[in-house]
Amino acid sequence: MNALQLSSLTVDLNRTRIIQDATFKAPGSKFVALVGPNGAGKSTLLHAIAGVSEGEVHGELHYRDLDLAKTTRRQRAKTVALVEQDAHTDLALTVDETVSLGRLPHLGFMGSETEHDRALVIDAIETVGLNHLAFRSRVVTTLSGGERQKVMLAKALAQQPQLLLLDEPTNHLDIAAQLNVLSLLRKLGSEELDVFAAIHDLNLALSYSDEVVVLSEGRVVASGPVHDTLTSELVSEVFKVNANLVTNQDSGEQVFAFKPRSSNGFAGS
Amino acid sequence: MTNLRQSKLWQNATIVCLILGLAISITFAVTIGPAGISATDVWSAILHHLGLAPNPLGELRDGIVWQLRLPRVLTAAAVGAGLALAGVLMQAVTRNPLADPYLLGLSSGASLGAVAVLLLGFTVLLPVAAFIGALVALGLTLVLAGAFGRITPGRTILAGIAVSALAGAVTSLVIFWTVTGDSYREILGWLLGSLAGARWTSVWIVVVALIIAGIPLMFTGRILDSFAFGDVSAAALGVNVQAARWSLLSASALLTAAMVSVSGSIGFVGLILPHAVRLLTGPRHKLLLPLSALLGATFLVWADTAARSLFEPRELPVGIVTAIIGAPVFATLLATRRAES
Repeated sequence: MNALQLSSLTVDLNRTRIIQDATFKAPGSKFVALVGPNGAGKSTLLHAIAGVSEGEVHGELHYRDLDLAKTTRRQRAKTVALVEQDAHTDLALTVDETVSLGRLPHLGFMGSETEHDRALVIDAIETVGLNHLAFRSRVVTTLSGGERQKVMLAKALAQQPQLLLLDEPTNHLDIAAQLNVLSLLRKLGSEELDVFAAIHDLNLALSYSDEVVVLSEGRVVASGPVHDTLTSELVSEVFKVNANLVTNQDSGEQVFAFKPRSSNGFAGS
Repeated sequence: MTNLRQSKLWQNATIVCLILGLAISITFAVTIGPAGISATDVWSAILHHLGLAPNPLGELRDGIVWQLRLPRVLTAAAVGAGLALAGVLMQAVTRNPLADPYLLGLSSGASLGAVAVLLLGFTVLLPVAAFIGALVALGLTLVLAGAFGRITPGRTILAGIAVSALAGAVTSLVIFWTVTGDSYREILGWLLGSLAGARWTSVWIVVVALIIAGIPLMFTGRILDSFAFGDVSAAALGVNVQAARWSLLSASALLTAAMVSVSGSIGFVGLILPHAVRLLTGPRHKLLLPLSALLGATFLVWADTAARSLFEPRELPVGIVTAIIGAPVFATLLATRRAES
């Protein structure tokens, strides 16, 4: 069954068209990666789906039975959660307080936190693997990049979304933290959640995601199962490099090897 | 302080204690001054004017309590609460720790209005002129901030700075050109913040502002919390960011304009007090808002009492006192809290 369906979606920011006629269908209960060069419009597209776009959004945007363009802000926040790129605060909020923010769409502005909300917050913190009791009272500004990213993920999970959007969740993380976050996303995606994440590293997208949507200059140029879609021809063209798929001798997995395209046009295979 | 941050019982107990502390502070502040008045006298006078007891004090002493000291102390409490609340709000909405209630050009606008009527000799109209001046400045700031599209925190701050600078320059020009002798002290007193002129009219102005704008703002804690990680993050939690920012800014500006119209621009309370309270409560607003209001009220009651009694018969503008008392208190708090964490 298709979970997320976009049809002729356009986004204009300050009268500049950032997303042009984006149309694709993404299946449910999968980890779908959104890839594309810098400036292709990945963040803009995620923001439009989350309903937080600063620009003008036109076109159709459906998630399962829901017409996202017509839902209320609050209903949308109960269905879709967004983990921003480089979300940051100067306030000395604890991990627990930060994750509790995710309960806002369910509580409204006036409702007070119940035992049920507390349990969901703790559950979310445990799901991302930060389950030491002492950790919950740590102040988020003192955490490492990987820990902070997991806290932001826990905040999104506390929203109890069905669709989880992430904007480059592995940005600024060391390789161990990257693999850790991606395994978690794949696990969440294989369970009850639909995960749609912008991923910079094509090899990580290749080995962790089920499906992929390729964005180039504001247009969706390809989408489908990751191994059928991310071909060396497509990647070479979209990212303007020479990309070759090679087989890892140990694991048998296919990975990309990249070479720069020569500017004078002579080199390259 | 972990208890205060987590336990509801502790939080409620703290609020009750602070309300009692404020009531006691108000009572004792009224007793301080050249004419000897006891705490019992204060309450007898209050009961008398509520029609619950005969007049036990005699005309003169009753007049001192009821016409002079009580309205002044109550105005101080309300102004302190209002400025602290507005400060918390401005800091949350602009995500700027240096934001204060006067950020949107309010105090400069109010000063211009006030100085104009002081010089023209219509002192009776002072609150009205200051209020109008503050609103005109606010309007200019918001037009400037929104003139080129959406209202963002950075643009709001810059627009406020521009309007403040302009109004401040015009005020200085007017003073420099026209002021002589005694009116100079009167004007300087107002510019530095003073409650010397507070009467029952002032009490009504600030209390009505607190009821209309202050009490609803007490319940905006969760919206303010949602701004912690920025606009996109707040929007992703279902908050209508632009509408929330407009209404919160307007409410806190109305509150501030009312305060400024009776007291001039008293510094420190709206800027530093929220930070001091945050060191105790953590950054979440549900507790920060009421505690800031109560501590702001208590703080200004004592600061104003010091301002009028320390160098008797001479009076200091309370704005000087708030900074002289407040800065070391805050520095101590900052140092000890850092040592703990």
